[in-house]
Amino acid sequence: MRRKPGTLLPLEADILAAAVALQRAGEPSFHGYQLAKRLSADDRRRLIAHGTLYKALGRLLDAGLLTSGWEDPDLAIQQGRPRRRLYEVTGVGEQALVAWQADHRRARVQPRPGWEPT
Amino acid sequence: MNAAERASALVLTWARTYTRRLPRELAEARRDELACDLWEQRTDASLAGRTSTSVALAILRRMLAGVPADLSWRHGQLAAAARKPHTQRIDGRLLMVHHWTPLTRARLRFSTRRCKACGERYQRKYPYCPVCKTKPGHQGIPRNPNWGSPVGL
Repeated sequence: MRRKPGTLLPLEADILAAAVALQRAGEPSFHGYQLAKRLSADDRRRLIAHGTLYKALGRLLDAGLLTSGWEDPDLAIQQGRPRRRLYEVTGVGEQALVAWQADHRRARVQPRPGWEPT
Repeated sequence: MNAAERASALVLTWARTYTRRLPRELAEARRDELACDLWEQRTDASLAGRTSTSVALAILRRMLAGVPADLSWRHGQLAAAARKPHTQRIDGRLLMVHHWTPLTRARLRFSTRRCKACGERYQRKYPYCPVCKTKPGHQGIPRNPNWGSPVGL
């Protein structure tokens, strides 16, 4: 999908919104599956595809809207599971989400010129 | 191995396929992340009491729906790797290719000189050959093993 630089795709905005919701629920960092589960709960959809999710997360990382880091491998070994890549929303990410939500609220309220019912 | 584990193995095989010939760190990060995701999904489903077959179907559906994104991600990563200068790639063969471009070869030729005594090539900034200690223009002086290395060499 082509887009203007600096704008968010709907999926990216959904990811940031889910991440901010997780942060507010007391989860400062989250892993991919946790995010997929949250997205499916929010939209009552099936779990998002692996490729779609991790590609979108990569774009958000590249844009500086998320940061990521691998958890301590000893902790994962102790719990008998693969180590997790943990993501966090940055301040820039939160601002981008707020701006995107404001734009969409405005777009919903103000119909485009020429589209008003006559 | 139950159905969900077989489906997970298939997803990881697919991941190994589409991360082939990508930078190693990037490919390993994607595969590790997927392994974690699959483990979390299986664990979550077993805690919720779902059958292994239904989890396997959900995993396969996630894989198939993500194939176009996987391929486009691979394409993007390959394109990004191709745009990087050769010297940034950690690959001996590519570095060698870079060193033998005509410009680099010319630079190497004019910034170094060959010692007439021992035949070694050394940087022009050094006053004498760091290997046999012979000054340029001399045909060769027997090397004294008690001479130390020049400072900074």
